[in-house]
Amino acid sequence: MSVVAIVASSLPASAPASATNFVGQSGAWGSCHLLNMADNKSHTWVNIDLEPYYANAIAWVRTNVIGPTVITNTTDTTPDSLTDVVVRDRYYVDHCGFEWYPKGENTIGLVECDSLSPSGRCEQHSLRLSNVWGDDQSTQNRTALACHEAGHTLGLAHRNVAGSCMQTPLVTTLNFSTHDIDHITANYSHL
Amino acid sequence: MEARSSRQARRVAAAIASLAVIGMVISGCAAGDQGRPAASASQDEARQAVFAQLELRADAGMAINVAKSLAEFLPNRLFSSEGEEPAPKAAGIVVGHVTAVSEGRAYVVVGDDADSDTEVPFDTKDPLWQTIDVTLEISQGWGEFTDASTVSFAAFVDGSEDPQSVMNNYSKLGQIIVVLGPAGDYTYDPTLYRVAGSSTLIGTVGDDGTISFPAKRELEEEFLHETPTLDDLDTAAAEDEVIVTRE
Repeated sequence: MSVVAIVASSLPASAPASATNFVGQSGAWGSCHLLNMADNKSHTWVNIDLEPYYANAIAWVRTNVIGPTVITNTTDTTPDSLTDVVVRDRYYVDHCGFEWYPKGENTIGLVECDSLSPSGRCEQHSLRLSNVWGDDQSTQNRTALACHEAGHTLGLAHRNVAGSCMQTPLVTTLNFSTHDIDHITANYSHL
Repeated sequence: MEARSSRQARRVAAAIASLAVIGMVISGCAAGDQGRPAASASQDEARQAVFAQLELRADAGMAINVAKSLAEFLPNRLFSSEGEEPAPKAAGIVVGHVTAVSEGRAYVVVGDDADSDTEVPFDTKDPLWQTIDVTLEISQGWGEFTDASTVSFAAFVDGSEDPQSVMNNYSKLGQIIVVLGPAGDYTYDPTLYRVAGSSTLIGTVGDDGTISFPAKRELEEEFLHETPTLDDLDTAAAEDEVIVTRE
């Protein structure tokens, strides 16, 4: 047997990228994986019993990444079916049949569109984060994941170009790129 | 209420589309029965529907151990991290035709949220997701499937899809290639294999042996760069073992 040792990155290649990396008003919603842009630009957020490290990461992203865009975001003190983003964290094992970390392809975060507005845009996104992975990560890595998933709640898809937290595999970049922000501005300013 | 009615409308639309596909199959079966011809219109539609869903699934979140190439799933590519024994990424790779599709199970979240989804009967109303059980007649296999003639695996169905339509589509995929993770994930049938890549690694094989994984989109070229055809895959499988160590 010939053995060749190759040292690979601990964060190897990830999911596909999109050329435009904006899914737009797709009309898509469902149970486990359907991306769709949000139905408005005034987003209300609620965290469901998040570990402090993810609560801090989400707060940082809302202030420093989403804040400078045309999207306003506030905490929803009376969450209901109209709350725009519901953030959850668990020790996910098989939610939606994904291979959650540390199994298989190691899913660590997921965004789902739970309901549609009459416009065909997403009324409410769920954002799920893995504690199995998060428990052992640096603040920067957790914040990068929060940034990435927050981008999905706005309709941003993956893009394998440096300079954005929407890049895959997970990078330590803690911002959207100008390209990403242009998508957000173009698609939300008029709402 | 708006969400529920939208979902029902989508299912009705999917059912109508499914009936249309069935009608096309019936009207075109004379040509389709002659051996295994190039993709028919109904096969094209079935593939389009299946891969559109797989593509959405592949782009909804963040995973950190996604394979760069199909060859990574061959039995002679071993991976290890943190001192673990080197092991293949998958049970193996199979090529073949679907011979049977049947209902699997449905899954729901009990309570507000849960670490694991709960298995319920397939016909449970408004499931989060479902499985359908697909049996493949194997024409070529690697890993655990080198000498196997058939294999059954669970395919993913999103809760927003009409499962009967999805089952119909899977039965019309023609020659496919599937990367299979270990068996044992599905308690209702421990012999079922899971599809690797969070159930997304299903592709097609052309009459000339050309492999395609449409759901990989922009990453498909890199994914198949080393093994664009079945012959290339077979050649790569015969190479010496390689151990990849992740830091």
